[in-house]
Amino acid sequence: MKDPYEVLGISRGASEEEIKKAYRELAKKYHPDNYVNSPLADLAAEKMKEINEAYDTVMKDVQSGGFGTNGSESTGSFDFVEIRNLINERNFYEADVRLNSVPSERRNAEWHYLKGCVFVGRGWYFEASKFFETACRLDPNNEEYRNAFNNINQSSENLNKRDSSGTACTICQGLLCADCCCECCGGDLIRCC
Amino acid sequence: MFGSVKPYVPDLYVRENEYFKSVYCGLCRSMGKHTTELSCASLSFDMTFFALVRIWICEEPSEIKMRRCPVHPLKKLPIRTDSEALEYSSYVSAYMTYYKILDDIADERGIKRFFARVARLFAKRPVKKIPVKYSDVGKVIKQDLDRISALEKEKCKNPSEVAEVFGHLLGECISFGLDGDKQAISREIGVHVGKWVYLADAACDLEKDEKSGSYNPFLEAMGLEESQKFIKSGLDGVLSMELVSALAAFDLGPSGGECAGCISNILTKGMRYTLAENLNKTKKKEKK
Repeated sequence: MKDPYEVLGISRGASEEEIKKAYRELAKKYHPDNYVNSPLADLAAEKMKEINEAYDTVMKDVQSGGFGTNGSESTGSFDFVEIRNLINERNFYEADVRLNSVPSERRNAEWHYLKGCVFVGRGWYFEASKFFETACRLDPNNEEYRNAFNNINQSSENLNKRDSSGTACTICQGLLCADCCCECCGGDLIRCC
Repeated sequence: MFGSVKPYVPDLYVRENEYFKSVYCGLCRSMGKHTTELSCASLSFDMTFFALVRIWICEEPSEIKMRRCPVHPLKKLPIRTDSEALEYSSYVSAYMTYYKILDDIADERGIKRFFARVARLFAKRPVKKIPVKYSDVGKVIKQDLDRISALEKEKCKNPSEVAEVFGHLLGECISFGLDGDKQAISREIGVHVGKWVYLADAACDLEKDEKSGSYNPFLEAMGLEESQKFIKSGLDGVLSMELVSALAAFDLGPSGGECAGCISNILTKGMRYTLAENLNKTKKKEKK
Protein backbone atom coordinates (compact mmCIF):
# COMPACT_ATOMS: atom_id res chain seq x y z
CA MET A 1 0.00 0.00 0.00
CA LYS A 2 1.14 3.51 -0.78
CA ASP A 3 2.11 5.95 1.95
CA PRO A 4 -1.23 7.45 3.01
CA TYR A 5 0.36 10.85 3.60
CA GLU A 6 1.72 10.85 0.08
CA VAL A 7 -1.67 9.87 -1.32
CA LEU A 8 -3.30 12.84 0.39
CA GLY A 9 -0.37 15.11 -0.51
CA ILE A 10 0.24 16.27 3.07
CA SER A 11 3.21 16.30 5.38
CA ARG A 12 3.39 14.08 8.47
CA GLY A 13 2.79 16.93 10.86
CA ALA A 14 -0.40 18.03 9.18
CA SER A 15 -3.21 19.22 11.42
CA GLU A 16 -6.66 17.68 11.40
CA GLU A 17 -7.96 20.69 9.51
CA GLU A 18 -5.28 20.29 6.84
CA ILE A 19 -5.97 16.60 6.44
CA LYS A 20 -9.67 17.25 6.03
CA LYS A 21 -9.03 19.99 3.52
CA ALA A 22 -6.65 17.85 1.45
CA TYR A 23 -9.09 14.99 1.54
CA ARG A 24 -12.02 17.17 0.55
CA GLU A 25 -10.16 18.57 -2.44
CA LEU A 26 -9.06 15.15 -3.67
CA ALA A 27 -12.50 13.66 -3.13
CA LYS A 28 -14.07 16.45 -5.12
CA LYS A 29 -11.62 15.86 -7.94
CA TYR A 30 -12.10 12.11 -8.18
CA HIS A 31 -15.74 11.94 -7.17
CA PRO A 32 -17.62 9.24 -9.11
CA ASP A 33 -20.05 11.88 -10.36
CA ASN A 34 -17.23 13.41 -12.40
CA TYR A 35 -16.73 10.12 -14.22
CA VAL A 36 -20.32 9.05 -14.75
CA ASN A 37 -20.05 8.90 -18.53
CA SER A 38 -16.43 7.97 -18.65
CA PRO A 39 -14.80 4.64 -19.45
CA LEU A 40 -12.28 5.60 -16.77
CA ALA A 41 -14.87 5.25 -14.03
CA ASP A 42 -13.16 2.12 -12.67
CA LEU A 43 -9.82 3.82 -12.51
CA ALA A 44 -11.32 6.83 -10.76
CA ALA A 45 -13.11 4.55 -8.32
CA GLU A 46 -9.83 2.84 -7.55
CA LYS A 47 -8.18 6.19 -6.93
CA MET A 48 -11.10 7.23 -4.76
CA LYS A 49 -10.75 4.02 -2.77
CA GLU A 50 -7.09 4.68 -2.29
CA ILE A 51 -7.84 8.19 -1.04
CA ASN A 52 -10.55 6.95 1.28
CA GLU A 53 -8.25 4.31 2.74
CA ALA A 54 -5.48 6.83 3.20
CA TYR A 55 -7.86 9.19 4.93
CA ASP A 56 -9.12 6.44 7.21
CA THR A 57 -5.59 5.49 8.13
CA VAL A 58 -4.54 9.06 8.78
CA MET A 59 -7.65 9.94 10.74
CA LYS A 60 -8.29 6.68 12.52
CA ASP A 61 -10.84 8.08 14.89
CA VAL A 62 -12.65 10.25 12.39
CA GLN A 63 -15.12 8.48 10.18
CA SER A 64 -14.95 9.43 6.54
CA GLY A 65 -18.10 10.96 5.19
CA GLY A 66 -19.67 8.57 2.72
CA PHE A 67 -20.81 9.58 -0.65
CA GLY A 68 -24.47 9.19 -1.37
CA THR A 69 -24.95 9.09 -5.10
CA ASN A 70 -27.78 11.37 -5.92
CA GLY A 71 -30.22 8.78 -7.23
CA SER A 72 -32.71 10.39 -9.51
CA GLU A 73 -36.23 10.25 -8.21
CA SER A 74 -38.80 8.74 -10.51
CA THR A 75 -41.54 11.30 -10.48
CA GLY A 76 -42.42 10.65 -14.09
CA SER A 77 -45.68 9.57 -15.56
CA PHE A 78 -46.29 5.85 -15.76
CA ASP A 79 -45.08 5.43 -19.36
CA PHE A 80 -41.64 6.71 -18.70
CA VAL A 81 -40.84 4.91 -15.45
CA GLU A 82 -39.39 1.94 -17.29
CA ILE A 83 -37.36 4.14 -19.57
CA ARG A 84 -36.02 6.01 -16.56
CA ASN A 85 -34.94 2.72 -15.07
CA LEU A 86 -33.15 1.79 -18.27
CA ILE A 87 -31.31 5.10 -18.20
CA ASN A 88 -30.36 4.59 -14.57
CA GLU A 89 -28.99 1.19 -15.53
CA ARG A 90 -27.06 2.98 -18.28
CA ASN A 91 -28.78 0.92 -20.94
CA PHE A 92 -29.01 3.87 -23.31
CA TYR A 93 -29.52 1.86 -26.45
CA GLU A 94 -32.68 0.15 -25.21
CA ALA A 95 -33.92 3.42 -23.68
CA ASP A 96 -33.47 5.18 -27.01
CA VAL A 97 -35.31 2.46 -28.91
CA ARG A 98 -38.27 2.77 -26.53
CA LEU A 99 -38.23 6.56 -26.67
CA ASN A 100 -38.28 6.49 -30.45
CA SER A 101 -41.31 4.24 -30.44
CA VAL A 102 -43.34 6.81 -28.51
CA PRO A 103 -45.84 8.37 -30.97
CA SER A 104 -45.12 12.00 -31.73
CA GLU A 105 -48.31 13.37 -30.16
CA ARG A 106 -47.23 11.92 -26.81
CA ARG A 107 -43.77 13.42 -26.87
CA ASN A 108 -44.09 15.80 -23.94
CA ALA A 109 -41.53 17.66 -21.85
CA GLU A 110 -40.49 14.50 -20.03
CA TRP A 111 -39.93 12.66 -23.29
CA HIS A 112 -37.58 15.42 -24.43
CA TYR A 113 -35.83 15.37 -21.08
CA LEU A 114 -35.26 11.60 -21.22
CA LYS A 115 -34.06 11.83 -24.79
CA GLY A 116 -31.56 14.43 -23.59
CA CYS A 117 -30.42 12.06 -20.83
CA VAL A 118 -29.79 9.34 -23.40
CA PHE A 119 -27.67 11.75 -25.42
CA VAL A 120 -25.70 12.78 -22.36
CA GLY A 121 -25.03 9.08 -21.80
CA ARG A 122 -23.66 8.80 -25.31
CA GLY A 123 -21.59 11.95 -24.91
CA TRP A 124 -23.60 13.85 -27.52
CA TYR A 125 -23.82 17.05 -25.55
CA PHE A 126 -24.98 19.27 -28.40
CA GLU A 127 -28.04 17.13 -29.07
CA ALA A 128 -28.60 16.71 -25.34
CA SER A 129 -28.66 20.46 -24.74
CA LYS A 130 -31.16 20.92 -27.57
CA PHE A 131 -33.54 18.34 -26.09
CA PHE A 132 -33.18 19.74 -22.57
CA GLU A 133 -33.91 23.18 -23.96
CA THR A 134 -37.13 21.93 -25.53
CA ALA A 135 -38.09 20.14 -22.31
CA CYS A 136 -37.62 23.38 -20.38
CA ARG A 137 -39.69 25.28 -22.91
CA LEU A 138 -42.56 22.79 -22.68
CA ASP A 139 -42.48 22.71 -18.89
CA PRO A 140 -40.72 25.84 -17.62
CA ASN A 141 -41.40 25.12 -13.95
CA ASN A 142 -39.77 21.69 -13.77
CA GLU A 143 -36.60 21.88 -11.74
CA GLU A 144 -35.24 18.54 -12.94
CA TYR A 145 -35.27 19.62 -16.57
CA ARG A 146 -33.91 23.05 -15.73
CA ASN A 147 -31.03 21.54 -13.75
CA ALA A 148 -30.10 19.19 -16.56
CA PHE A 149 -30.04 22.06 -19.05
CA ASN A 150 -28.03 24.29 -16.72
CA ASN A 151 -25.60 21.47 -16.05
CA ILE A 152 -24.44 21.61 -19.65
CA ASN A 153 -24.72 25.35 -20.08
CA GLN A 154 -22.76 26.14 -16.97
CA SER A 155 -20.16 23.41 -17.29
CA SER A 156 -17.56 26.04 -18.12
CA GLU A 157 -17.77 27.16 -14.49
CA ASN A 158 -16.12 23.88 -13.54
CA LEU A 159 -13.17 24.92 -15.66
CA ASN A 160 -12.97 28.35 -14.07
CA LYS A 161 -13.17 26.86 -10.60
CA ARG A 162 -10.17 24.65 -11.10
CA ASP A 163 -7.51 27.23 -10.45
CA SER A 164 -9.22 29.98 -8.53
CA SER A 165 -8.59 28.61 -5.03
CA GLY A 166 -6.81 31.00 -2.69
CA THR A 167 -4.93 33.19 -5.13
CA ALA A 168 -3.64 36.59 -4.06
CA CYS A 169 -6.56 38.15 -5.87
CA THR A 170 -9.23 36.50 -3.76
CA ILE A 171 -7.37 37.43 -0.59
CA CYS A 172 -7.33 41.08 -1.68
CA GLN A 173 -11.01 40.88 -2.54
CA GLY A 174 -11.70 39.47 0.89
CA LEU A 175 -9.79 42.25 2.59
CA LEU A 176 -11.55 44.93 0.57
CA CYS A 177 -14.92 43.42 1.39
CA ALA A 178 -14.04 43.29 5.06
CA ASP A 179 -12.95 46.91 4.87
CA CYS A 180 -16.23 47.96 3.28
CA CYS A 181 -18.19 46.11 5.96
CA CYS A 182 -16.22 47.84 8.68
CA GLU A 183 -16.78 51.21 7.08
CA CYS A 184 -20.50 50.58 6.93
CA CYS A 185 -20.49 50.14 10.67
CA GLY A 186 -18.44 53.26 11.17
CA GLY A 187 -15.07 51.58 11.67
CA ASP A 188 -12.16 51.13 9.28
CA LEU A 189 -9.99 48.13 8.54
CA ILE A 190 -7.68 49.54 5.91
CA ARG A 191 -7.02 53.19 6.58
CA CYS A 192 -5.98 54.30 3.12
CA CYS A 193 -9.23 53.25 1.42
CA MET B 1 -7.08 20.45 -36.76
CA PHE B 2 -6.56 24.13 -37.18
CA GLY B 3 -4.38 25.45 -34.44
CA SER B 4 -6.81 26.25 -31.64
CA VAL B 5 -5.36 23.72 -29.22
CA LYS B 6 -2.71 25.92 -27.65
CA PRO B 7 -1.98 27.39 -24.23
CA TYR B 8 -3.23 30.68 -22.85
CA VAL B 9 0.25 32.12 -22.47
CA PRO B 10 -0.40 34.84 -19.82
CA ASP B 11 -1.38 32.11 -17.39
CA LEU B 12 1.64 29.89 -18.01
CA TYR B 13 4.63 29.97 -15.69
CA VAL B 14 7.72 31.19 -17.51
CA ARG B 15 9.28 27.74 -17.19
CA GLU B 16 6.14 26.16 -18.63
CA ASN B 17 6.21 28.53 -21.56
CA GLU B 18 9.88 27.68 -22.20
CA TYR B 19 8.97 24.02 -21.98
CA PHE B 20 6.11 24.40 -24.45
CA LYS B 21 8.37 26.22 -26.90
CA SER B 22 11.05 23.55 -26.54
CA VAL B 23 8.52 20.86 -27.46
CA TYR B 24 7.23 22.92 -30.38
CA CYS B 25 10.75 23.39 -31.74
CA GLY B 26 11.70 19.83 -30.88
CA LEU B 27 8.74 18.52 -32.84
CA CYS B 28 9.71 20.64 -35.84
CA ARG B 29 13.24 19.29 -35.70
CA SER B 30 12.00 15.74 -35.26
CA MET B 31 9.72 16.12 -38.26
CA GLY B 32 12.66 17.35 -40.29
CA LYS B 33 14.68 14.35 -39.26
CA HIS B 34 12.09 11.59 -39.65
CA THR B 35 9.73 12.79 -42.36
CA THR B 36 11.84 15.20 -44.50
CA GLU B 37 12.31 18.93 -44.02
CA LEU B 38 9.29 19.60 -46.23
CA SER B 39 6.93 18.23 -43.61
CA CYS B 40 7.99 20.98 -41.18
CA ALA B 41 5.64 23.25 -43.10
CA SER B 42 2.73 21.36 -41.56
CA LEU B 43 3.91 21.94 -37.98
CA SER B 44 1.00 23.08 -35.81
CA PHE B 45 0.05 23.83 -32.22
CA ASP B 46 -2.41 20.95 -32.33
CA MET B 47 0.36 18.48 -33.07
CA THR B 48 2.42 20.05 -30.30
CA PHE B 49 -0.42 19.26 -27.91
CA PHE B 50 -0.45 15.73 -29.28
CA ALA B 51 3.27 15.43 -28.56
CA LEU B 52 2.83 16.94 -25.08
CA VAL B 53 0.23 14.33 -24.16
CA ARG B 54 2.47 11.51 -25.40
CA ILE B 55 5.43 12.87 -23.44
CA TRP B 56 3.29 13.33 -20.36
CA ILE B 57 1.59 9.94 -20.38
CA CYS B 58 4.85 8.07 -21.08
CA GLU B 59 6.60 10.20 -18.45
CA GLU B 60 9.48 10.81 -20.80
CA PRO B 61 12.39 12.60 -19.18
CA SER B 62 13.01 15.99 -20.72
CA GLU B 63 16.30 16.92 -22.25
CA ILE B 64 16.44 20.47 -23.54
CA LYS B 65 19.38 21.96 -25.37
CA MET B 66 20.03 25.50 -26.57
CA ARG B 67 20.44 25.34 -30.30
CA ARG B 68 20.05 27.39 -33.44
CA CYS B 69 17.52 26.44 -36.06
CA PRO B 70 17.39 27.40 -39.75
CA VAL B 71 14.16 29.36 -39.32
CA HIS B 72 15.59 31.56 -36.53
CA PRO B 73 19.34 31.58 -37.27
CA LEU B 74 20.22 34.55 -35.04
CA LYS B 75 19.07 33.27 -31.67
CA LYS B 76 19.76 30.09 -29.79
CA LEU B 77 16.48 28.52 -28.77
CA PRO B 78 15.60 25.84 -26.23
CA ILE B 79 14.91 22.71 -28.24
CA ARG B 80 13.84 19.35 -26.86
CA THR B 81 16.09 16.58 -28.10
CA ASP B 82 14.44 13.95 -30.27
CA SER B 83 12.51 11.26 -28.43
CA GLU B 84 10.06 8.47 -29.07
CA ALA B 85 7.05 10.70 -28.43
CA LEU B 86 8.28 13.37 -30.84
CA GLU B 87 9.13 10.81 -33.49
CA TYR B 88 5.70 9.23 -33.24
CA SER B 89 4.02 12.64 -33.38
CA SER B 90 5.93 13.44 -36.59
CA TYR B 91 4.58 10.31 -38.22
CA VAL B 92 1.01 11.06 -37.17
CA SER B 93 1.38 14.61 -38.46
CA ALA B 94 2.61 13.34 -41.84
CA TYR B 95 -0.30 10.91 -42.10
CA MET B 96 -2.86 13.54 -41.13
CA THR B 97 -1.53 16.06 -43.64
CA TYR B 98 -1.48 13.53 -46.43
CA TYR B 99 -4.95 12.11 -45.89
CA LYS B 100 -6.41 15.56 -45.35
CA ILE B 101 -5.05 16.54 -48.77
CA LEU B 102 -6.47 13.40 -50.40
CA ASP B 103 -9.78 14.35 -48.82
CA ASP B 104 -9.61 17.85 -50.27
CA ILE B 105 -8.86 16.50 -53.73
CA ALA B 106 -12.00 14.40 -53.52
CA ASP B 107 -14.24 17.11 -52.05
CA GLU B 108 -13.09 20.47 -53.40
CA ARG B 109 -13.68 21.96 -56.82
CA GLY B 110 -11.76 24.31 -59.10
CA ILE B 111 -8.66 26.13 -57.93
CA LYS B 112 -8.71 24.58 -54.47
CA ARG B 113 -8.60 21.11 -55.93
CA PHE B 114 -5.67 22.16 -58.09
CA PHE B 115 -3.78 23.41 -55.02
CA ALA B 116 -4.56 20.20 -53.20
CA ARG B 117 -3.11 18.22 -56.12
CA VAL B 118 0.08 20.25 -55.94
CA ALA B 119 0.24 19.78 -52.19
CA ARG B 120 -0.11 16.02 -52.60
CA LEU B 121 3.15 15.95 -54.53
CA PHE B 122 4.90 17.36 -51.46
CA ALA B 123 3.02 15.40 -48.83
CA LYS B 124 3.66 11.99 -50.36
CA ARG B 125 7.34 11.72 -49.57
CA PRO B 126 7.03 12.19 -45.78
CA VAL B 127 4.47 9.39 -45.63
CA LYS B 128 6.78 7.03 -47.49
CA LYS B 129 9.37 7.47 -44.76
CA ILE B 130 7.11 6.13 -42.02
CA PRO B 131 8.19 2.69 -40.72
CA VAL B 132 5.84 -0.21 -41.41
CA LYS B 133 4.99 -0.77 -37.75
CA TYR B 134 2.99 2.47 -37.75
CA SER B 135 0.93 1.61 -40.83
CA ASP B 136 -2.07 0.74 -38.61
CA VAL B 137 -2.18 4.36 -37.51
CA GLY B 138 -2.44 5.43 -41.14
CA LYS B 139 -5.28 2.97 -41.67
CA VAL B 140 -7.25 4.35 -38.73
CA ILE B 141 -6.77 7.93 -39.92
CA LYS B 142 -7.81 7.08 -43.47
CA GLN B 143 -10.84 5.11 -42.31
CA ASP B 144 -12.11 7.80 -39.98
CA LEU B 145 -11.51 10.67 -42.40
CA ASP B 146 -13.37 8.69 -45.07
CA ARG B 147 -16.21 8.11 -42.64
CA ILE B 148 -16.37 11.85 -41.93
CA SER B 149 -16.50 12.64 -45.67
CA ALA B 150 -19.28 10.09 -46.07
CA LEU B 151 -21.29 11.63 -43.22
CA GLU B 152 -20.73 15.08 -44.68
CA LYS B 153 -21.99 13.93 -48.07
CA GLU B 154 -25.07 12.46 -46.41
CA LYS B 155 -25.59 15.89 -44.83
CA CYS B 156 -25.67 14.38 -41.36
CA LYS B 157 -27.91 16.36 -39.03
CA ASN B 158 -26.22 15.35 -35.77
CA PRO B 159 -23.09 17.40 -35.12
CA SER B 160 -22.02 15.02 -32.35
CA GLU B 161 -22.19 12.03 -34.65
CA VAL B 162 -19.56 13.48 -36.97
CA ALA B 163 -17.53 14.90 -34.10
CA GLU B 164 -17.47 11.47 -32.51
CA VAL B 165 -15.65 10.03 -35.51
CA PHE B 166 -12.96 12.66 -35.28
CA GLY B 167 -12.75 12.04 -31.57
CA HIS B 168 -12.26 8.34 -32.28
CA LEU B 169 -9.48 9.17 -34.73
CA LEU B 170 -7.58 11.30 -32.26
CA GLY B 171 -8.21 8.93 -29.36
CA GLU B 172 -6.85 5.96 -31.30
CA CYS B 173 -3.81 7.86 -32.59
CA ILE B 174 -2.86 9.38 -29.27
CA SER B 175 -3.08 6.06 -27.41
CA PHE B 176 -1.49 3.89 -30.09
CA GLY B 177 1.13 1.46 -28.80
CA LEU B 178 0.35 2.12 -25.13
CA ASP B 179 -1.37 -0.27 -22.76
CA GLY B 180 -3.36 -0.43 -19.55
CA ASP B 181 -4.23 2.79 -17.73
CA LYS B 182 -1.97 4.87 -19.94
CA GLN B 183 -3.86 3.80 -23.01
CA ALA B 184 -7.26 4.38 -21.41
CA ILE B 185 -6.34 7.82 -20.06
CA SER B 186 -4.69 9.14 -23.21
CA ARG B 187 -7.47 7.77 -25.39
CA GLU B 188 -10.09 9.48 -23.29
CA ILE B 189 -8.26 12.80 -23.55
CA GLY B 190 -7.88 12.34 -27.31
CA VAL B 191 -11.55 11.47 -27.80
CA HIS B 192 -12.81 14.58 -26.03
CA VAL B 193 -10.27 16.97 -27.49
CA GLY B 194 -11.04 15.57 -30.94
CA LYS B 195 -14.76 16.15 -30.52
CA TRP B 196 -14.06 19.63 -29.23
CA VAL B 197 -11.85 20.45 -32.22
CA TYR B 198 -14.40 19.27 -34.76
CA LEU B 199 -17.28 21.20 -33.21
CA ALA B 200 -15.17 24.31 -32.63
CA ASP B 201 -14.03 24.33 -36.25
CA ALA B 202 -17.58 23.91 -37.43
CA ALA B 203 -18.64 26.90 -35.33
CA CYS B 204 -15.82 29.06 -36.71
CA ASP B 205 -16.61 28.12 -40.32
CA LEU B 206 -20.34 28.68 -40.02
CA GLU B 207 -20.62 31.90 -42.07
CA LYS B 208 -18.03 30.76 -44.58
CA ASP B 209 -19.81 27.47 -45.17
CA GLU B 210 -23.13 29.27 -45.47
CA LYS B 211 -21.76 31.42 -48.27
CA SER B 212 -19.99 28.65 -50.16
CA GLY B 213 -22.80 26.18 -49.61
CA SER B 214 -20.52 23.54 -48.15
CA TYR B 215 -21.46 21.18 -45.37
CA ASN B 216 -21.61 22.45 -41.81
CA PRO B 217 -23.15 20.29 -39.08
CA PHE B 218 -24.75 23.22 -37.24
CA LEU B 219 -26.31 24.58 -40.43
CA GLU B 220 -27.79 21.16 -41.16
CA ALA B 221 -29.08 20.79 -37.63
CA MET B 222 -30.78 24.16 -37.20
CA GLY B 223 -30.19 26.67 -39.99
CA LEU B 224 -28.13 29.86 -39.97
CA GLU B 225 -30.02 32.07 -37.55
CA GLU B 226 -30.48 29.43 -34.87
CA SER B 227 -26.85 28.40 -35.25
CA GLN B 228 -25.62 31.94 -34.71
CA LYS B 229 -27.77 32.20 -31.61
CA PHE B 230 -26.47 28.86 -30.36
CA ILE B 231 -22.84 29.84 -30.92
CA LYS B 232 -23.40 32.97 -28.84
CA SER B 233 -25.18 31.30 -25.93
CA GLY B 234 -24.97 27.51 -25.87
CA LEU B 235 -21.73 26.54 -27.57
CA ASP B 236 -19.45 27.28 -24.64
CA GLY B 237 -21.43 24.97 -22.38
CA VAL B 238 -21.52 22.08 -24.84
CA LEU B 239 -17.81 22.35 -25.57
CA SER B 240 -16.92 22.75 -21.89
CA MET B 241 -18.56 19.38 -21.24
CA GLU B 242 -15.88 17.85 -23.47
CA LEU B 243 -13.13 19.74 -21.66
CA VAL B 244 -14.46 18.71 -18.26
CA SER B 245 -14.39 15.06 -19.40
CA ALA B 246 -10.88 15.43 -20.77
CA LEU B 247 -9.72 17.01 -17.51
CA ALA B 248 -11.34 14.21 -15.51
CA ALA B 249 -9.12 11.79 -17.45
CA PHE B 250 -6.13 14.10 -17.09
CA ASP B 251 -6.50 14.07 -13.29
CA LEU B 252 -5.92 10.31 -13.30
CA GLY B 253 -2.55 10.59 -15.04
CA PRO B 254 0.84 11.69 -13.75
CA SER B 255 0.72 15.05 -12.01
CA GLY B 256 3.27 17.79 -11.46
CA GLY B 257 5.94 19.13 -13.76
CA GLU B 258 5.91 21.56 -16.65
CA CYS B 259 4.36 19.13 -19.10
CA ALA B 260 1.27 18.54 -16.96
CA GLY B 261 1.11 22.27 -16.34
CA CYS B 262 1.01 23.01 -20.07
CA ILE B 263 -1.67 20.39 -20.73
CA SER B 264 -3.82 21.60 -17.86
CA ASN B 265 -3.51 25.19 -19.07
CA ILE B 266 -4.47 24.21 -22.61
CA LEU B 267 -7.51 22.24 -21.46
CA THR B 268 -8.81 24.72 -18.88
CA LYS B 269 -8.05 28.03 -20.57
CA GLY B 270 -6.12 27.87 -23.82
CA MET B 271 -8.65 26.13 -26.02
CA ARG B 272 -11.59 28.20 -24.81
CA TYR B 273 -9.68 31.43 -25.09
CA THR B 274 -8.41 30.77 -28.61
CA LEU B 275 -11.86 29.73 -29.77
CA ALA B 276 -13.44 32.89 -28.37
CA GLU B 277 -10.76 34.90 -30.14
CA ASN B 278 -11.33 33.10 -33.44
CA LEU B 279 -15.08 33.59 -33.22
CA ASN B 280 -14.55 37.31 -32.62
CA LYS B 281 -12.24 37.50 -35.62
CA THR B 282 -14.79 35.98 -37.97
CA LYS B 283 -17.41 38.36 -36.62
CA LYS B 284 -15.22 41.38 -37.38
CA LYS B 285 -14.65 40.14 -40.90
CA GLU B 286 -18.39 39.86 -41.37
CA LYS B 287 -18.86 43.49 -40.41
CA LYS B 288 -16.33 44.70 -42.95
